[in-house]
Formats: sequence, C-alpha cells, structure tokens
Amino acid sequence: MIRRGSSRTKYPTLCWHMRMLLLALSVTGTLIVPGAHAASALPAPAGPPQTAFPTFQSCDNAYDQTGVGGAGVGQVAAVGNGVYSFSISFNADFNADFIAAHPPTTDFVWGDARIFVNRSYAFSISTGHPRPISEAFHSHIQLQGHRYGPRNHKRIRRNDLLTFRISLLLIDPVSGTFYPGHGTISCRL
Amino acid sequence: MTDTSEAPSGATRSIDIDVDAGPLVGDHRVVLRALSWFPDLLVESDSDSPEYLDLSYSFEPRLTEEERMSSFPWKVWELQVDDDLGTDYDASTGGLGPGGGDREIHPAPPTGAASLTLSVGTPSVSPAGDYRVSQVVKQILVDLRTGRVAVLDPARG
Repeated sequence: MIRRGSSRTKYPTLCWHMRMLLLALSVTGTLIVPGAHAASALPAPAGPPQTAFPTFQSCDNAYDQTGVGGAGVGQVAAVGNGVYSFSISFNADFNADFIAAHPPTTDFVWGDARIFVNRSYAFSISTGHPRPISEAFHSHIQLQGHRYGPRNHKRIRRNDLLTFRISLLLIDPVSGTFYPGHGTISCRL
Repeated sequence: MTDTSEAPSGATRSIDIDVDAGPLVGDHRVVLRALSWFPDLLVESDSDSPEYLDLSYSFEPRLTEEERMSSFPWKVWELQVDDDLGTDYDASTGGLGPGGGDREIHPAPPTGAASLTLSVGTPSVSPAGDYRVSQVVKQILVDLRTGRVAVLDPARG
C-alpha cells in the first residue's frame, strides 16, 4: 500500500541543502556555486494570496500557476480511499515558452514538495534521480489519515488546508546551467 | 547482475526484468525492463541501506501526445513490493513519460534479502476518470543473488 517512509521525509534544512548540492555534483561532476550559474528562468513562487484561484480549491484536481500561462506544473487529484495523486509535469505552455528557449538536453534533475497542513510543516516528497524533462514525476500519497507533527500525534483529516510547496531544479548538462523553479498548490482536503 | 542500457545513468547495478505485464494503462502494455540500484543522497545518514531501487518500464505503444497531456492518475499502475524478510517498501513515487517511465522503490533490499516480489496491478483510476479497485495482474519473483527472474501466477498468490 502507499505509504511514505518517515526517514525520507524529515531532515534539517541545512543538511537538506548540502545533500541537494551533492546531488547536483553527482549529476554534473562540476562544482556549482549556488546562485552563480543559476538562471532565474521560472517565475517566482505563486503563493495562495497571489493566485486567481478561489482561496481554497478542492484537493481533488488542484493545481498551481507555476510556469508560463498559469497552467501550472503541479497537480493533486484524488484516486480514492483517501489516496491522492501528486504530480509535477511540464505543460504545453511551459514546453512552448521555456523548454523551447533552452537546449533540448535539459533534464529534470530534481523536484521536491514540502507539504504543510493548516500551515504547519508535515512531510516532504522528493525525486530520487534525474529524469528527462519530457517525463513527469508522480507520487501516490495516503493523505487522509496521514500522521504528522511532533511525535506524529496529528492526522490529516477532511477539511484540512493543505499547501504543497514545490521546488524544481532543471539543468542543461552541456553548459552546466541550473534553472530553479518554484510553485505552490493550496487546497482543502 | 548485469549492466544494461535500460538502467538510468548513476545506477550502481542492475537486473534485467523484461516482463510484459499486459495492457495496464488503457490499451498500452506495460513492459518491465530493469531493476536498478541507486545511491540515495536524500536518506538520513543513520540508515543502514542508503540506496533505493528503480524499476524501469516502457509503454507499448507509446502514449499519444493527447494522452501525455491528459489527467495523470489513470496512467499510474499499482506496484507492491515484498521480500523474504518482510521489509516495508515504499513504491509510491516515480517518473512517467510518453515512452514509459520508472518507479522508485525505497529502500533497497537489505543485504540479507534473497528474493524480491514485484506485484503489478491495474491503476486505481480508469482512463475515463472513474475510481476502481486495483487488480494484481502479474507477480515477478526476482532472485537478488543470481539475478534470475520468474513470473508467478497471481491467482495462486
């Protein structure tokens, strides 16, 4: 059944950034100074107050406005029994306006979503290894009933407000340029 | 164990699977290609198994552009992973493109595990978007020591 291992979802922020750098090094074999080669190619994060969506869209078919044209790169959809599909994929707007403007060798190096429940951090989901940019990253999550919080005392319940904060890292391996991206999905379970 | 072109770059070892699981995603057959080991850079340092597995597969035929851009859940088939030690595996994440994709299996089997069973099931959502109970259609037994692969009859459990 679909479960998230707690060991993969809790780590200090500093440690997380160090591991992200290691991941980048493992891909390129090149030392990347954060910010030095990173191009700000994707729009800034679109938080809930900045979106055109109703404040609380349903978590069944919820999406963000990241990317060009506001079509979003992240989506949450119910698949039954409290299980939800979370996916990060690059839509037609994104393909036309972003990918077309960059080398076709650009890979989808890494994606991560930190999930907040009623504005409290609950857990995270990360990609394991680089994928072609034509692929989507997906995860099935047992959201309803998912334990979180100190000593896992809380459970996610219907009507909770969930926020998926998405971070992306795309790379052109030829030039070694990284393109960071962000997005936010807010929805009511 | 073999090195295979099917394995994504960065894999430390790989076992060829090459099992056709049938038309799981609409009319598209899912062909399991290879099981590969990857170092898990995001796992906590106190873990005794800092690796994970990746099961690559292809769609036959490929998804059309319309299908690629359509809603997501109907394209995600179910995967349950077990070993002879009773290890708890998480196979809920992966990648998916028009030609196929991969499923991440966390963690990698512990060194004492001798075999791994991959139970492949239909997606929980139909192409029309209706919920349905996933049915196991194929079980694959992987001998982790020899790399031999056997297909089991799921009806016999």
